[in-house]
Amino acid sequence: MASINKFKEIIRKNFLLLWRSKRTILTIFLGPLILISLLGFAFNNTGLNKVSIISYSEEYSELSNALIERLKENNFALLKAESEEECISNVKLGRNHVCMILPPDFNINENNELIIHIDKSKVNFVGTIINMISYNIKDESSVLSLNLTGVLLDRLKSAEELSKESMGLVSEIKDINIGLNEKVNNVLDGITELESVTNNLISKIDDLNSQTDVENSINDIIELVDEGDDLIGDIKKEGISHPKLEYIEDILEDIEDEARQLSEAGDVLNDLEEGLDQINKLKGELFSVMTSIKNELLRESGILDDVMSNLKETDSNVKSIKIKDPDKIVNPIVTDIRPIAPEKSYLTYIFPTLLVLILMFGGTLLSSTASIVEKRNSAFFRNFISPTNRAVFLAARYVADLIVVIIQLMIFTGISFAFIGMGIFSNISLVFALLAVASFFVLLGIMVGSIFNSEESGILFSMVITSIMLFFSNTILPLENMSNLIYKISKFNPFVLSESMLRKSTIYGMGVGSIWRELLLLFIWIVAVIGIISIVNKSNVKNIIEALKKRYEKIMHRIGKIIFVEE
Amino acid sequence: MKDFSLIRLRNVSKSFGDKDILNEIRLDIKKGDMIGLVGESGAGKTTLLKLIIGFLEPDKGDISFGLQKKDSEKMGCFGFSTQEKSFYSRLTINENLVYFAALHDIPKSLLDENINNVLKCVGLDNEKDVIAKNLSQGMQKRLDIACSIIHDPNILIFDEPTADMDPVLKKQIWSLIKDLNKENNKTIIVSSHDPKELFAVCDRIFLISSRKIKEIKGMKKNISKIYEG
Repeated sequence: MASINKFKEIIRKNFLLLWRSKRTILTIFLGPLILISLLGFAFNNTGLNKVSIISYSEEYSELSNALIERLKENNFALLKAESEEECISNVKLGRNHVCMILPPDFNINENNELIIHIDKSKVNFVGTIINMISYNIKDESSVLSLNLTGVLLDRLKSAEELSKESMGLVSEIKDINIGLNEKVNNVLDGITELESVTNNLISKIDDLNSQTDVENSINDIIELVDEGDDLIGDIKKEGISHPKLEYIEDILEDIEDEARQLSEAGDVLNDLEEGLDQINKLKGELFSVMTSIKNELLRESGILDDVMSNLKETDSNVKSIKIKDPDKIVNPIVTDIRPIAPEKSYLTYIFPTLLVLILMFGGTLLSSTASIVEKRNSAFFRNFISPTNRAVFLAARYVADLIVVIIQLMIFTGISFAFIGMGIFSNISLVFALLAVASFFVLLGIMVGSIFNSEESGILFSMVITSIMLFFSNTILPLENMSNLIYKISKFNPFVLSESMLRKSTIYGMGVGSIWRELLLLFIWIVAVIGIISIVNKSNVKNIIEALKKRYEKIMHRIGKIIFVEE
Repeated sequence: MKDFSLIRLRNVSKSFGDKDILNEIRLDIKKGDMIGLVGESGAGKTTLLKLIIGFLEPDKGDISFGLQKKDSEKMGCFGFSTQEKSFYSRLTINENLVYFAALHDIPKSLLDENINNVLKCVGLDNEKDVIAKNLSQGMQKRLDIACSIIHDPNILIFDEPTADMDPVLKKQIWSLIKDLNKENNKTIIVSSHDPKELFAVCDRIFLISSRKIKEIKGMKKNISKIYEG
């Protein structure tokens, strides 16, 4: 009972001392109040506004102006620079976030490269700006791509139709080619047959000419007929008349006519033979021409096959393009980014981080300063010489500071409830998480207060250690930006553990089962800090060591007794 | 009440870093004694007092009490009033006394009575609810003494109790200390760099000089020679 009373009195004393310092009280209460009010007004929205872009182009083309209009429609503030140097300089001086250099006559055929100058030293901002600019440019680019792709697809469709038509024509040509080929073959066959016939005729004519000297015979016949005529003439001169003489004269005339006709026929046969010889000659030439035509037809057939094959391949390639929608070609992968929690304001998203920051700075600075002020207080000496264990003072310091930090937290969350409707008692796991986080940072402050003896050094060290935790967390830069080793170590950063727990509890409403790992790790941190506090407060350690020594001696004494008694 | 009526120091030495403060101190204090420690500033008076109460550990030697007790009980036997005012200036007189009484495990049932008695003893019974920083210098010193005796210790230690005080105030404080010894039978050890003050109230006076301690006997007539060694 006395110990509990002592404990309560120490806590009461700590509170009274805080309460009677008006500035401290104001800071404790007003600090979180001002913080949440400002944050609420500043971040209770969802968009990233007020990004200013300055552009420069020697000559603004239609595309340049279209792009600028699109950016203006998406709440970007746009300015135009007089020169490229001015454009870049404005970004360096922080007057604008982005400098956009557009080539003269900016268009999609040539001069389509857009240069963006951005200040990457604004590390917490630059990724968002790049994404937003890229998104808007990509949007405009998508519209252009869609149009171009639409045209391409139309042309492709036309090509497909032409290709089909061409295949048809090629087939027709091929058929004609085949037909021609057949006819050529027929002609060649005919020529061959003709050759055979003409040769046969020539041969017969030669035979005829060779077997009978037809011409001489005809001449003989004519001579005989002349002789017959002369004879008849002589007969008539003789005054011999007979009716048959006239008849014989007629016959002789007929025979002469026939002979002359035969002579003519012989001439004709000779002409015929000559003609047949010429035919043979022409036939050779014709055969040669027809053969060459046949070869050409074959070659053309081959070419037509190739053309057909190409047309089929083209048709097959065109058909193989399954996606005919320009939108799907320009954006083959559609990204649907869904927040895993319902869309809320920035304040909701940064709420867990804010909670940790309040607990970290509030807890660490308050406890460290309070511990050092207590040590430097003239009354500390009297505490020290009282029969009160140092651990009781430390425990009371922890409880008092924890209560103050929780009061601050409640002020903060009470007002944030008005902005985002988020209360800290909506989820029991959140209560556990907050207690663990607050405990860690309060104990951290007590540790700092135990180590250092001046407020300046205590505050400085607190700032250093909290800054280290802050920088190696996701708050300034993503952890994933860090080297592998630091990334792995940072996962055990109490700030990271705290933020993770609170994010799971506040935004996603997860239970204790989801945060047990972080709770366990934080608990280990708490034990480590308590250990350091104990080591620094040497009297406690000394007492523990002395107690352990005495216990050890007792045990050895008993063992000795047992051994010697047995013997 | 806890009964450590005898304090014995044997060959106690203490140094801070390379600087030796005390060397082989021998001292015996009996119950009811009023011991004065005199010496120049920096002689080691405060160090010796802190060694006696256990705030500092001696480098060599031994400090023993009448009966060997645990450190925590030993602490409870002492009341210590320092040169600085060892109380919380933002708390009231009552709040300070309640707090220090709690540290010494004074039961609640006895608390009010103890506080009233102590306040009466030091003459602050009408200022109970006054915030300490608003008290006068003399009242603050009395409060400091009250905080030292709230747990009714057997041994009281005053380290230069009248430093920076005017003569009237000094007289009041010495009177109070004397009353504590004579009327309440407290063993008192008081230090001062002014031997005249000690001679007026103390039974025995020890000089701390050159890291040694020496009892001063029959020196009332030769006050000026004290520091001559």
